[in-house]
Formats: sequence, C-alpha cells, structure tokens
Amino acid sequence: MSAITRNFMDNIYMAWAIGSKDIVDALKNKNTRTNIALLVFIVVFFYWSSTPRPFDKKIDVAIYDEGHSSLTDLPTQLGDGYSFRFYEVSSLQEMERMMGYKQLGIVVPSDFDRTLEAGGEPELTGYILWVHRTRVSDLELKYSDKFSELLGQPVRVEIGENFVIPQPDVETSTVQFTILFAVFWMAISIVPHLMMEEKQTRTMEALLVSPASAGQVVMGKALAGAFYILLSGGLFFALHWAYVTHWGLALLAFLCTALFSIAVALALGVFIKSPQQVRLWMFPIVAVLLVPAFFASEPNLAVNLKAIFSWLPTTAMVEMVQFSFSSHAPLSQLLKNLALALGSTALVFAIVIWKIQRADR
Amino acid sequence: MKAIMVQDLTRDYNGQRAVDGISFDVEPGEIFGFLGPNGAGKTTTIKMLTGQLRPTSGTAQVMGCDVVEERQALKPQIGVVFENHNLYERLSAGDNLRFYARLYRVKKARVEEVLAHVGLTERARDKVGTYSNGMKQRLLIARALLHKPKVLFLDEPTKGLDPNVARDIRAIATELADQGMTIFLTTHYMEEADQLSDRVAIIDQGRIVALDTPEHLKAEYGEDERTTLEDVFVQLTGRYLGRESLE
Repeated sequence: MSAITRNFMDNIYMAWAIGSKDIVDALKNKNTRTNIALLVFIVVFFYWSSTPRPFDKKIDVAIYDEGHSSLTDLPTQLGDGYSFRFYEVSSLQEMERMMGYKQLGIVVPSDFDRTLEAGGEPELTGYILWVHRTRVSDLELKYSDKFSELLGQPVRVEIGENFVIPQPDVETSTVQFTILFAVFWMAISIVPHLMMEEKQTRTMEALLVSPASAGQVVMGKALAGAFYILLSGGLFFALHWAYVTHWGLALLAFLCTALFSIAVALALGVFIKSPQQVRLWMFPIVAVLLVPAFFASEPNLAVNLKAIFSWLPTTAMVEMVQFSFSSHAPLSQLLKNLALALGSTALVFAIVIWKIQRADR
Repeated sequence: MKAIMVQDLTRDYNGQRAVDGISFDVEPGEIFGFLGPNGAGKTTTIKMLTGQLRPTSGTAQVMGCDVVEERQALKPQIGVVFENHNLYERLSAGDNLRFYARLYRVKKARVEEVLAHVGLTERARDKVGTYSNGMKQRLLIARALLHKPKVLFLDEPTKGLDPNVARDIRAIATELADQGMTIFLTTHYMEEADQLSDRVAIIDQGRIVALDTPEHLKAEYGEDERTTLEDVFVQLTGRYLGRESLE
C-alpha cells in the first residue's frame, strides 16, 4: 500500500471513528434532537403547503380556447364552494409556460359550443404539471365533475399523458428552496455545536493528544453533519421525488448544497468560540445566504438585486435544483452555477483548513 | 535515551512570555514533579510537550520524538491526565474508553483491563455525567493508560479530590512508575510532590528557579530538617508577592 493510500485510509478511519461517536452522541443531546425534530416539521410543512389540499377550493386554469367558446364567460362560482379562475392564453406554448403555479391547463376544442348546444358530451383536453402525474385518474374525475357542474351538463376532461414539464426558467413551487433550507439548517445546527462542545468541555484537548489530527477531528465532525444532512436529503426526496425530472442533476445539486453547508458550518465551528456567538452569527448568515436565494427568481425583483443575487452560491444551488425539476438545464447557466457552488465551497474549506493548521500557534 | 529532553523552550502569548527558555531532562521511569504558582507556565509547558502548542523557540523531545516535527509519532508514546474532567458526559465510561480505543487502535479487551485497573468495572455502563469527581479522575487515568504510554503527564491529578481518592490516585502513579513508566506530574500539593517525585522542578514566571530531588532542595533552601517542600516553594516563588505587598 503506498504512503498516499495509507494516509488516505488512516484519515477515513479516524474521521469515521470520530464521526460515528458524534452521530450517537448528537442523538443524546436534547438540543440536537430538538433541531432535528424542528427540521422534520419544517420539511413536512413545506411539502404540505406545496401540495393541493382537500380544502383548497380554487381551481386555477390556464385556458387555450381556439374557438373563443362561451366557457370563460360563465360564472365561476360553484355551489359546493369551489370556484374557477380562468387565465386565457393565445397559444399552447403560452399555456405551458403559464402553468407554473396553475393546477390545470385546458385546451377547448373549436366545436365546444356546438357540441354543448347539440346536447353531446364535449371533451376538454387537460394538461397537468409533471409533478402530479401519479394522480391523473383522480384529477380527470375531479375536473370532469367540476366542469360538468359549471356547465350544467356532462363534460369530460381528458388528461391522459399530457404532462407539462416546466421550462428551466419557470418556477412551479418553492420546493427547490426547501432542500437548501433543510440541508443548511441541519448543517449549521449540528456541526458547529459538535465542535463547540468539544472545545467547551475541553475534550478537544484529549482528542488532539490522541492519534487523531486536528484535520481528522474536523473531518469527523463533517462526517457526522453529513450523516444528518443525508437523512434530511432522504426525507426531502422521499416527499418531493415526483418533482424530479433529472435525478443525476438533482443529486449533484444536493451534493453541492451539502458540501457548501458543511463547509460553512465547519467555518462557524472553528472561528466562533461559544454557542451564543453561533446563534448571533446564524441570523446574518441566513440573511446573506438563504434569503436572497429565496427571492432571486422573484419576477418583480429589481434588476440590480437580481444580478447580485445570481452570484451567490446558494442562489446557484437553488437554480440547479430547479433545473433538475425542469425540461432541461441550459448548459452555460448550469456550468456557471456549478463553478460558483464548487468554487465557494473550496474557498470556505480552504479557510477552515488554514485556521485548523494554525490551531497550535 | 532520556524520556523527556527540553532545551531553551520558550512560548510567547500576545507579546507576553509564558515560558522563558526552560531546559531540563527526565529519565525513563522517573516521577518528575513540575511545580509552580498559578500562571507560572506549567500548563503551557505540558501543552508544548504533548504537541498541543507550538513553542516560539527551543526544542523538546519526548521518547526521542520532536514535539513539533514528529507530533504524530509522539502521540502513541504519551498519555495525558488533564486537569479538567474532559470526558463525554452523555456517554458511559465504557463508551468513552471504546472510542479512544478505536483512535489508538487498541483491542477492546484492553478497555476492560484499564477499567478494572482503576476500579470502575462495576460502573462501566453508567453515564459519566452521573460520576463523582473521584470516579471521573479514575476514568481519566484509565483513558490515559489505554494505549500503554511510555510517558504519562498528570496535570493536577488530585485537585479537589477527597483524601481517600487522592491516596488511591497517588498509589496508581507510584505503581506505574515502578513498572517503568515516566511520570510528569504537576500539582499544587507540595506534600504530594514531595512524597511522589524523584526530582522536582519549580517554575516561576516562565523560568525554572530550582531543579533537584526534594531532599536536596529542602537541604539547600531550608533552615533546618523541619523544612518542607512547601517552605522551599514559598521561598522561591512567594517573594515577589511579599515585595509587592510591602511596596
């Protein structure tokens, strides 16, 4: 075995020994358990809030009505509390783009009014977002029922396999932000505290006179953080798997987000001296890294701010996740995002290593 | 080969000199008492000798390993019993030791051995947070002995312990020295240093002001045969305080 391989194996062994101790020890810590429970609640809440619920009684419909039928002229309020909101579009492409947050796209056939007048059962071609593809029969039934109620005679909404996969620049939800938040939260609520606790209880001194090097201690903490991040990522993808169109890209975006979050969390752990300071720094870090990422794709955002936000690594990561939910990823933008994410991660890791190497000075 | 060789060791903190060019040797199997008032430089010296802190200048070797250049090779040679009870309180004593056993790559059976050695077998499954100070101190010794080090650093090992536990700890130290382990001991208890140490160094304001066997120190600085090591210590390190008070 070469010296490099031996050194690598030794690093992995030590990091795992420390990381596995921390994984168990973290679970015995009340604060960590609270943070994990809070995170699970937040992820599930975001999932719930991005899912159509039984009490949501507004049906937003993007309508492409070639024959200018009477459909959109009808009253939109139904007897059972449901109501329609129609958004007329002039082409199929416009309908697909508009379906960002709309539940349904409808193409009204040109002979729709004639079929209605003749007492037949007209058929509306429905389109739904790719994410809802597992619910086709439910949705066909529901929308056929609601349109029939609206028109006062039987109407069939046929969705089939008309799934709209969003364009990369069309947001369909805030789900892509949830993964950044979940991973970032998990990292900064666990890793700095693991390091802080070692410093405060002075177990760090015992670790540093053991065969573990300072770098291996930090790697161990990163590994423990990575374990919990993997769990949060697992929870996220278990709930939001239906959004994903490109799994490779989704996992790459998750990996970038995880690495960056761990790097920031380690930086907090090595530079900051007390849990109070961690809490103090959490707010500005969240304000600078997470808030802009959330608002970066807001259409009404000032152009200058948009340009600034686009250079933040977290914005790049959110956009990468969004690409993995889209029809395709624009290569130049993807490469820029990847460079931003990996470059900033490498920079933060380099700062952490520099600080660790100076620990004995 | 000397167990510890220190030559002109110096350490500065923010422009202040904490350790000022100290030199000494420790023989294998010797119990070396390192005494000094608070802030004299004892802990800084231990930190440098155990590779936790880089000296500003000077050299030190422990079991032939340079404390700066050969830090990784040094680590298996030394065991440290820290002044504070730096243990994982949410874990059991067994889990604490098993964790360090993995780091030192020693067999798990050794955990049972050291637990038995310090008399903690019965409570090995209990969380360390539930332990008394004496039990924690025993566990710290067990941890330091896990990998059978050649040199054991004991930093205030009996501080705050009741006399019975302190006596047990001293007995363990003597037993280890009899088995050939070198012991570098810092303590504020002069009687303890006198009883245990083969030689004693007294450090004050970063400098070694005396280094000899307790008997020679007492003979050199004492007025009669009733002179204790504490008298010597006060004479060598307490005069500044006296002067300042008078002035």
